Amino acid sequence: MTRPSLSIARSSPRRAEAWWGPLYALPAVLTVVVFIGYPAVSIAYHAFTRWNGYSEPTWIGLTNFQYLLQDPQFFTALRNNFLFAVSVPIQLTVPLVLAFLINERIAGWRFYRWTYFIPAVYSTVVVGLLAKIILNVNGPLNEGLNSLGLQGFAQDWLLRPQTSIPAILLIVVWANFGYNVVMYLAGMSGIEPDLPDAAKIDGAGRWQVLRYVYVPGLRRVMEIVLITNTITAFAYMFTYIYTITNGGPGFDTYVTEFLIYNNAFTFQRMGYASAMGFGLTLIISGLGYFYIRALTGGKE
Amino acid sequence: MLGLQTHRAGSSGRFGALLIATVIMAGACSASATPSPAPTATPAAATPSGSEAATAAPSPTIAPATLELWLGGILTTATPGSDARNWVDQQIARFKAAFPGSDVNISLLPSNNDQLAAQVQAALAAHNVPDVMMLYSGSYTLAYQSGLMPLNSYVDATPGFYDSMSLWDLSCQDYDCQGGQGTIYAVPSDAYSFLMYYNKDLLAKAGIAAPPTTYDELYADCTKLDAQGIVPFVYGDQDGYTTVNLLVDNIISYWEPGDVQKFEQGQLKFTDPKWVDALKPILEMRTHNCVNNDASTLEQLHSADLFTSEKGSMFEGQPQFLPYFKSIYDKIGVTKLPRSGNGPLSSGVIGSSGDDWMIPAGAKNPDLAWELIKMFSDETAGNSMISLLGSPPCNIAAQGNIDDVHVKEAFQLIQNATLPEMDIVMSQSTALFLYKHLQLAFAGQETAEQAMAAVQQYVDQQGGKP
Repeated sequence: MTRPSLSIARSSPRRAEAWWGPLYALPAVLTVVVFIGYPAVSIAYHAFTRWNGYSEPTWIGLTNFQYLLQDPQFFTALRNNFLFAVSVPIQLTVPLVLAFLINERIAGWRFYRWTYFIPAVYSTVVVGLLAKIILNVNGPLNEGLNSLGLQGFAQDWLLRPQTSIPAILLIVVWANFGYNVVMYLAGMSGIEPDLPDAAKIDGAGRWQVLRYVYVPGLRRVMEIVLITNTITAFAYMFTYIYTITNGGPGFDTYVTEFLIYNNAFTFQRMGYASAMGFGLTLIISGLGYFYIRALTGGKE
Repeated sequence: MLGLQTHRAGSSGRFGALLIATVIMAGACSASATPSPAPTATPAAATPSGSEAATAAPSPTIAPATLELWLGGILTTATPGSDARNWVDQQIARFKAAFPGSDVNISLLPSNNDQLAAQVQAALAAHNVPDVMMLYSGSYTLAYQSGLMPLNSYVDATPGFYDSMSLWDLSCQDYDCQGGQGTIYAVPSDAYSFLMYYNKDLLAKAGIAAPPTTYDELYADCTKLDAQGIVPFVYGDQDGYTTVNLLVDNIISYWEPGDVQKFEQGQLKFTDPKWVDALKPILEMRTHNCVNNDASTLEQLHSADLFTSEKGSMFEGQPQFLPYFKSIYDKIGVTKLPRSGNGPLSSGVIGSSGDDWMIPAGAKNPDLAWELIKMFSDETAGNSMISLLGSPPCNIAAQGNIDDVHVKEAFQLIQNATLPEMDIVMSQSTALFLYKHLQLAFAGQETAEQAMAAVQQYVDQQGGKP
């Protein structure tokens, strides 16, 4: 009976193992290439073409981008995205305070933890349709105001952007803040309990504990909350707009996502929609980079 | 064009819409260019000309298949159990009996025009098309003509078919069928116009003897009806539809012969006083308390509920709304909408075909699809269309069988139409853009001049033709 040489016995498993890593990663890599890489390259190409989606695209250079810079609808939509970004500081701070109170085990903390998270599990379509009903001029909100003798405040909330944008913003905050509370709670559970206890023994009040113990320890969580909510304001608003106002009146409540969708599929301007998508990607990437630099001070 | 439209539902996600769009675009790019298959004319049995043509005996050579049927236009409301669905099901049952082994899968397109256009566009881009579609006629069909199969071979192979139908022009290239010699992209289904339905009892309650014929009369009636706690004119404008329907009707009272051609060529612009002046009295309806307080955030279809529940006394809509009014059928009357101008065409009516049937290029079963279209277009289908859809059919033989009083009233108005609805002879994208600005104008955020200037600016950017 012969034994294989030691060198073969050692090298074969290693050689085989060398393939396992790439093999495991392959599904994820393929998914990224097919669903992100290829569309991204396709968008970049079609942004320089005139294309209705099914005819041959025609190369038109920078024309789409020149038009984009003069398009009032694009700037209305972008302005609305920035207005919705007002939700970011709210999402950053209010859930932090609520998570802190739950973490401090205030009376009824289990109930609060449960109820805060409920909106986060609702479909955004359901949230949008509910909001539309509530904000209708004959809806429960105005009826409530009327029954309280506040008729002067009742109005058609979705008729003008001055009221519809803040209303939608509040809906989005309500729908998402429970998720952020959970994020903060997860972060707080990772902070050594001795630290807040020690601070309290040293005489720190509740808010000082939050400010000087928890907030520094939650920096990474805050980064995530900041980035995800910024992305929400710029790229997750479609469903809310689609269900609550359909962009109206006119283009008043359009956001860039909705404008891209409209141009691509309603107006058959796929090339122009690609240019908008390209622009939106650059804006979100720039904001993300800025936030991370600001939060990390340029450190890794 | 206007619609029996409802709303929405959607999905999002990070770059959701964009990602879906690009995946579809990717599919479109990678797919080989598939030329539209020339229709292989079915050797349909020779049939008599005229009304019997559409009931041509099916060809025994067509293999059974399951057809994919997409219902847009008026049939977006063909939900199970509805009259519209019953009509569709009746014709499908006849089709299945004539073609044993074949079946039809129905998909309802979104009734909101923006969303419907998006779905059709995506299907054509992805080469994932149904066998048969119904869409609104005119630009709503011809916007996709490069993705549709010309039907001339089928029409020519079915003796008498062309002559058995009316109102063809909005289904052909350049809105001109040239007596069957033009390029036919679709088969007209029903006759269409924007009319005023009014509740006689409610008008009488406010002391109004007859429906208004001018906007000044309308404003006066609004005061009387409002004093009685009745919504004078039911209005649903979330998509701008009620405003655009009133506008394309009122414009007939300002236009002169030849203006349609000038408009199509870009010589008569949206900023022309004829457009602007036709819009102004419509916008004033709000200041005269003529409309429901949620007019701007309610869809036209849903606003019909106010009329059906007798909270509102007047309603603008097409004949296809009649089935909605069954509960008050004896109380309603049908007439022309009010007019504010007194041009040479002001006594006329707008009208055309409303919806049409088409076969997308690349459909898997075009021969069988044509047989289904013939079934939907024949006299039998036309007869039941009158009672179930409230629509005057385009089938000429069936038109002679209209006995419903309100459908007859509508048909008598439409058959004397002097102009088509202008929003279906402009490009679909211009029409949809126009709706947005009309909605803004009616919401009080733009003047008539500003709205029309914005639309003209858009048209100019697209090359100058509407």
